[in-house]
Amino acid sequence: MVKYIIKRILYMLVTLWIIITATFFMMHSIPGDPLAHMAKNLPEQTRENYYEKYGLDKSTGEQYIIFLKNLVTKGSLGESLRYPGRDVSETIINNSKISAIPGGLALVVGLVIGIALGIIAALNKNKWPDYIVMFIAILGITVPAFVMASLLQYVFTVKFQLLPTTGWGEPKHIVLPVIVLSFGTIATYARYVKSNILDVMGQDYILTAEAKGVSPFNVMKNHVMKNACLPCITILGGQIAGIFTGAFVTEKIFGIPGLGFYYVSSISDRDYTMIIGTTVFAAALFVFAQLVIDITYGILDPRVRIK
Amino acid sequence: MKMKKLLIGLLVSAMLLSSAACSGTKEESVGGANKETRTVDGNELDAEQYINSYLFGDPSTLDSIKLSDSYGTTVLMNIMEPLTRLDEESGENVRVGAGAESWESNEDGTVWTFKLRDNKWTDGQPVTAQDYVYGIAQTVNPESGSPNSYFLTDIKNAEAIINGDMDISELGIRAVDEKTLEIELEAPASYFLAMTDTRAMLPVRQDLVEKYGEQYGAEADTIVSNGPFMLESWTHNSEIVLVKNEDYWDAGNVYLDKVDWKILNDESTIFNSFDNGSIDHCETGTSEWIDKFSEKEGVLEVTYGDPTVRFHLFNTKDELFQNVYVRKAFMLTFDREDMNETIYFDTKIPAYGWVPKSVTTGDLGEYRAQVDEPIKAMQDDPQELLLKGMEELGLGDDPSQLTVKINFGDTSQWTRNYGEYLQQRLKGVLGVNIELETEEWGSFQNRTNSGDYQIGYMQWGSDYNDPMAILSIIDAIPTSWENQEYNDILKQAAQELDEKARVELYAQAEQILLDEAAVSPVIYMKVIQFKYEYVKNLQETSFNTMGFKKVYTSGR
Repeated sequence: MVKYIIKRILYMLVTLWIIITATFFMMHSIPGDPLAHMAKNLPEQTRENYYEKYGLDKSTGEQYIIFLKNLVTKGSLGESLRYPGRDVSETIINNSKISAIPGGLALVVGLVIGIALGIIAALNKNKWPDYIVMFIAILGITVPAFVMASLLQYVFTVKFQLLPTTGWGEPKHIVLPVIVLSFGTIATYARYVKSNILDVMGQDYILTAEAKGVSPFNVMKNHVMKNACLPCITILGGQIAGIFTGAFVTEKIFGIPGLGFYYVSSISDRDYTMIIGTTVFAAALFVFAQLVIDITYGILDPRVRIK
Repeated sequence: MKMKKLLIGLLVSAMLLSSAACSGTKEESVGGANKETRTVDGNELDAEQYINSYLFGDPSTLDSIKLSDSYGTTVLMNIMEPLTRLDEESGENVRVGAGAESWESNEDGTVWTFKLRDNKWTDGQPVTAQDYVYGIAQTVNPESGSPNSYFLTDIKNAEAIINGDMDISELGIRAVDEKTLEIELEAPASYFLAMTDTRAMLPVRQDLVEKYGEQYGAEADTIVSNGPFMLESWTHNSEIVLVKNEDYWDAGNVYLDKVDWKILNDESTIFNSFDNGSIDHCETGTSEWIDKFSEKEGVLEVTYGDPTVRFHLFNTKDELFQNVYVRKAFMLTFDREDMNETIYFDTKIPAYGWVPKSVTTGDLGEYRAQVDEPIKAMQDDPQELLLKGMEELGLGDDPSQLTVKINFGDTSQWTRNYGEYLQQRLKGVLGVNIELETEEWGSFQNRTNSGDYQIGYMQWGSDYNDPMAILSIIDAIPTSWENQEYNDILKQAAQELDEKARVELYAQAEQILLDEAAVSPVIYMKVIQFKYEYVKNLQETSFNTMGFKKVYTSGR
């Protein structure tokens, strides 16, 4: 087990290095520079002085070596170019903590409601509760977050002024974002759990259990649910990693100072250090989540063996 | 007991100070200095004075040397004291003393002396001429890599220093004494005062820059202020809160106790916030919202010119657009009235000149009121011009054989619609085939700078209030157009201290530029602002640099 984990961590490091390298050279190959957001043709010399100050006058290869050196020896991702004076790692940590609050709550809410709806739908297959659940699920998957967010914002903050339009810091600020963010999760789990339950219920061991006289409730609890919910771990792992990287659209509409903004804007701003920082962060979270999922599987599912 | 005495003493002195300081405005107090009954210009002030506003983005930093966006400038104009400010009186801009109480220049306008007021930083230090010297010199210093250095090229030796040919100590600026600042210019620059309230000339505290290093101005606690307000908090990408600076020299004429900027970068969020009163004012160019808010009760609409011009640029090295008749044919094909109506739903101003509305020239007022727009007088038939150009180039007489590409540095749906609109118009009138290409600004900038385009599309705002701002940037627009006469006239205008003669020179330069059709202006921007009636004294001209200094609320 220990050997396996060490091996996996080494693989993770190699994966990260490949991602860093690829991102680094790709982002430097797109035209433009961190002053592009000014949308101005600055005099050549002004631009050159700026490049020199931030080391952008060096070749991409040289910049790459400097970046790796700082990362390995000091653990530093550098300073944002778009927001001078702000440390990239600090920005990522602070903002991902903010993103994780509505994201995490939405995941819990979505998971609970989603699984419950999935069970209801499976037990009432082809009856009206099933149709209602599936209707909600389709809505949740197809309605884009910005439509949902703008609609809720209009209804709850303009029509009926029950909640603040934007802001951060108090529980009332995250009510609407959590609803928006959980909607998709509810939809995903409702569908997933429903099809898994139906799948498991068709298995031979369920028939065996029923044949030996286990009550329907116990069949459901001990045999169906356990097997139907296990595969959820695969999606869950990715989603837990995802709550830290933020949700661009929802955060933008509700004015939540999360990390989502930096993922999107850093690219059009050519904020090189921030692009690399956020990419490394997302990649690290992702590979780490994969590792945890694999280990969890090994513990929970005897059919999967870790060597 | 002692505490009470002290408090009374403080109140009395505050009263005295404020009544002494308000000599300039029509403020009167009814029934003593009781805040609740203060009136200004006949309006009774609300007991609680605050404004909720918004910024469209998080400032990159509040270090004026490194700052590269307008959001930060908006904040700085409220927390810092520039040498002068541009105020407004019945729609006209007036320059008033701010950090400087008076200023004068020598006879030929090459040496400017500013006499500073007694003012304090929020940490108790006095504001000195050295603070201004440091802010200005560091903006020029190539080691700071400031994106704002280009503002200051008129100062003696600045150009050479920016180019790295001279040491920063050679810059034509010095603190004569604690309260006297002297700036020497390379040559007379008639518009120089208009630079004194830009971010490039703000005071910066050397000791704090040395203490905080790169972090100076990146957070609320790594900067101090000397303006009407001070930073209380800055939650990145969320909110900036200012409170009144009681130590400000003119604190008696500052009414707001609190300014709360939410950082909102989603349009519908901004409008929802205004609709339900979370913010007290908002700007919009979207016609649905304009319709909605202009009917809303208790809301006032204020519109004024934004000194920004949207234009097409021609690559004069291109084999087709090297010809002036071809360029002019395209320039005259754009139907600016129709464009304003169809594309902008009448929310902008058709542009027939290069200098936008609302740019003024000293005491003479708005430039556009003095000088007719050149394109309006051009009556040539675009198609004839095109054929003439094609003939000169030896391209035959069939415009349908020509394919012209228009590049855009933006990929939004609006830009695509606009492109298609142009495509139709140009094909309809000139009969040429038009191709469109949209890409991100960075790629577009690279393309235009390397001359790999035919027609481009850009907008440019005036950095300071003088036609020179927009006329001189022709240099930085990658059309490859060069005209010695144009440059000479601008140079002459810069040194011309007689305003009337200067306007005349600007008019000549603008005429040459548009006769040569290196660029084709199409639209002047306009600000459409909605505010609740209780907000008073909010700016109503673009160049106003008073910030929220004079704003108050009455009847909230």
